Amino acid sequence: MLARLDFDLDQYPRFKSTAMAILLVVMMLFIFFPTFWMLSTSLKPNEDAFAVPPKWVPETVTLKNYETQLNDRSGFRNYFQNGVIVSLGTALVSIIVAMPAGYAFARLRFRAKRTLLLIILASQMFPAVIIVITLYSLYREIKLLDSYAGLILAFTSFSIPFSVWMLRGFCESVPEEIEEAAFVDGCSRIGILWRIVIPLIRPGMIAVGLFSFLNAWNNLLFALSLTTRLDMRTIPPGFLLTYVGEFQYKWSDMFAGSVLVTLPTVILFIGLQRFLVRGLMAGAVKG
Amino acid sequence: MRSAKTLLSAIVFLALVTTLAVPIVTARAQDKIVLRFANWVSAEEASRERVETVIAAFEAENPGVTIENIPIPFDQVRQQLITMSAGGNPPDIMLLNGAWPFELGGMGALLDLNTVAPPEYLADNWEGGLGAGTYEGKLYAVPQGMTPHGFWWNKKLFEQAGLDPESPPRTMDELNEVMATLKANLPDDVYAIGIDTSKVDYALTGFWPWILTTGARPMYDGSYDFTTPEVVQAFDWLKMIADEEYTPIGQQIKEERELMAKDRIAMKLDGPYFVGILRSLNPDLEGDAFYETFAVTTVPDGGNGTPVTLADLHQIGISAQTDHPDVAWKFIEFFCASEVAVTEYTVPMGMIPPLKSAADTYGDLLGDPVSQAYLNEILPSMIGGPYDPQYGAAAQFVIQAMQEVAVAGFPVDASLESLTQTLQILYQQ
Amino acid sequence: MQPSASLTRRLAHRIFLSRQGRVSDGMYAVMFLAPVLIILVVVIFYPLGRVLAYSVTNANLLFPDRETYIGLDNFDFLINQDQIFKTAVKNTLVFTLASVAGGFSIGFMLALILNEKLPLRNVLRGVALIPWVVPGVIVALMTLYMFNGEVGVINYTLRSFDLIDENIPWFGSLDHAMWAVIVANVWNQTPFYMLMLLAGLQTCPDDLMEAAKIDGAGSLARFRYVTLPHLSKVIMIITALMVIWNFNNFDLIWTTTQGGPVNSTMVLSVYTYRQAFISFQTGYASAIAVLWLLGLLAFSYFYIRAMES
Repeated sequence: MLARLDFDLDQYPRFKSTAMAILLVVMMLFIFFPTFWMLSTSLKPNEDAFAVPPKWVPETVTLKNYETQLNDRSGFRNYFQNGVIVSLGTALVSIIVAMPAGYAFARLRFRAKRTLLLIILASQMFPAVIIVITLYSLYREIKLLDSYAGLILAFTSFSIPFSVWMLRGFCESVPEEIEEAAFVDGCSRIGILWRIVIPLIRPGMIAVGLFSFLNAWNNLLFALSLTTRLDMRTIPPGFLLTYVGEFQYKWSDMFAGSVLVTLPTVILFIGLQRFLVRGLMAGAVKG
Repeated sequence: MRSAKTLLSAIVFLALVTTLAVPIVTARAQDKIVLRFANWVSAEEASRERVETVIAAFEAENPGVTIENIPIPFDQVRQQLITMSAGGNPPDIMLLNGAWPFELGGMGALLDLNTVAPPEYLADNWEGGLGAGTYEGKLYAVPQGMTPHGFWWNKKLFEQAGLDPESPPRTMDELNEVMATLKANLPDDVYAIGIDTSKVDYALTGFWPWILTTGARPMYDGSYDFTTPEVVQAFDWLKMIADEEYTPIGQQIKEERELMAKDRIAMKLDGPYFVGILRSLNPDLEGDAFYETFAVTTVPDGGNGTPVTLADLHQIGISAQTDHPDVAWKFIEFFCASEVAVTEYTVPMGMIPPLKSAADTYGDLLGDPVSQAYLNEILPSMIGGPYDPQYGAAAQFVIQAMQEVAVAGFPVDASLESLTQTLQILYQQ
Repeated sequence: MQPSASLTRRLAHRIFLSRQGRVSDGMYAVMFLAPVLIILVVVIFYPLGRVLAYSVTNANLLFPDRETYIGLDNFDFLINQDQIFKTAVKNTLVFTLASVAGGFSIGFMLALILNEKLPLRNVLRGVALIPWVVPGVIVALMTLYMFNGEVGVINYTLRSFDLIDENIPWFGSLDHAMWAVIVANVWNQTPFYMLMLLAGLQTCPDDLMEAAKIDGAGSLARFRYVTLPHLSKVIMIITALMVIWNFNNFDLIWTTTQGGPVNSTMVLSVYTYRQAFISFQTGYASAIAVLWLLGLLAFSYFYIRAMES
């Protein structure tokens, strides 16, 4: 076993780079092919969407599908706007509530700490499909149906375990000496959190924000069940409404819409990727 | 540190704004009657503007009334209406389909329309149309658009296979011969017939006419026996067309429509709206070109004696909890039978207006071959479904049996035997 | 100078530690944890309580008048008579394990490659993230479209490369439907593994790697004795997390197959949904949910135990 373990790829740079290039191309094809197909279909007229043989590159390129979506005030634009509001809200609320909790688990000593942490983490394990029924009646009683606040609350609950756990790792990575020094200077707990910890864990907050944003942006079940009015629908239920009709699928429109809703998140994630990786490095991995 | 503070204050501020903005949006004017109308047609792009036109016309005629739209994706309507009704928050008016009036009616969520509808309005309805909304003597839904499945065939493919394009099969035996001829004479990737063998609820709706045409009436009148010779005949036939590859396996009806538009399926059951769907999937079918390629008639007879189809309709009902049943009915009548509704919505969307008198009133709108076939042949042949409040649960098992037979290749007898047992347990509870 | 500075620090440290154990810590803990706990109680734990109560009744939304207490009958029927439930458990395990194994291996390979010095590395990392940000509904609809047996591009591609002779009816075949949804799921989730493992790899200390190299350890040895141990914690956490998330994966299978054909893709989330929203047997669906929760709790317990040792 160890004999084979002696083999050092780095001594064969050409072999290594060729092997890596092949693997990379194969995996990138796997990743990029559906994306390409989405893009290609979105530029075709609908009747070409199910042509055999498939038209790899659209024969007639049309931006009509995009125009239709962008001009659709009570449809696409409305869902998109709601999606942005609710997802941003969820990201912000998640950061705000998870940060002190993460800090508490990292630094404070209190009874039942481990149990509480486990309970928070275990909340992910419960089937979401069944929660919806009771949550619907509860929301009706406390008047949260059809409200951004209700949706943000529900989505946040799904981001909390991951966020708390990540931010806990983050706070642990802040050197205790710095906090002590601040303590010696007469800082209170809140002062330490506010002035020392928060500035140091900003990448972690961004990472948590991105995760929560994505969760809210993509959620179907709760978004569908806890809203009834058209002007409150977010993107996933809006998609089902608009493109999966009673009678037919609207492939081209759907993929134009898909490109449009995926683009901002792709840009957001690629732009903030640096923070994301750094955030995960300190928070998730070490913790 | 300063920037952290700014960041955090910005975060808190934004969160507060988002949360506080909500109640303002939800506030409503009190002096008007607001009726909430749950439906799927105002969500779909094709019909949304048309529905809004009808609603606007109604609101113009009734200044004190506002109709608030609650669009729900078609596949989610049943679940949402039942959840909303059970949660005490039902919409006042609901667009319905299939077994929903029975399920909602059974749980006490729908109003008996006999209490608000004028008898002369009801008398103008097709018999099968009212039957599709009547449960235990109560009328829970009236038809809004007539959309039962007829038998569609592609005349050009018939001609290509050497068949007479103008004579569709009238019996199941003829149909089987036609399928064999089509299979033998058409390219490999063209299927003779389209049957939805997927797991979606609609697969069963689409298959009911094939069961009914044998004379079988399982689940009607409290009999859940799927082992009668007639039912076995229908499932044997399903197995045969799957084994012979007459139909593409595992395709949903929506996908089969795409194939039909591309001349890859020769025959299938579908509603009158099929005209518009096929045209949207294949622009070459605009105008009269459509009628040169496609035609529709009644389902081939498999021993029933007369042609028969399932009354699969767009129906409409009123919540039992509404404060304004009379106004709600007024809207229903407007939505079903007013000139605006019929000319701006029902007919353009490819549905046949629900009242018998519409054939005369809107004769010029309904002169095309498809509408004529519907008015003269198909609508008289429809009967209501075997619906009851447990139908939704039961249908899952029937669909499972269909898939066992068509997809998994299980023996018909065994599948139907176990289906019958399962249903008996279900209905005992 | 030096000793006094260190003395001050030690003193501060002692005071700091002693203050940590005081009442004030408990009060801060309450303050800091309250928002999180309130949200979880409202959205998860209160409904959970209701579900527990439902699970011993025959509650059915369609028959609100008939609801009675029936003890453990639901559980009895589930475990002893319900064949579909058994299938669903089996399918859930297959779906979850295959998805996690597939996503993890591809994600790991990607992470290893993208951790090397490559041209355009940041762009490639960005592109690799795309599948993850595509909403589940869209992934599902794309799956339906691309795996379509008649007009789907997957069959066409496979046929062009002579990998198959005839079109595979992906969603009309008991043997293929599950694999189609697993492939789609792996596609969707791979970037998550990649991202987490990449972050892990970047914290891998270079000096340790160099030391191993000097000791003559080959690539595989370095991977086995340096990289893997360093990543063990993150591996444990992401796999556990993804097992739990995939149990809850509903959008993809519901939008593509709804559990069919027959019950070949019937997983627990879909079966629970069917019981809850098609049959409206709230009581029975709640019983499934309770067993599910117990199963996942047991899994997490043993998994974390096994990984820790």
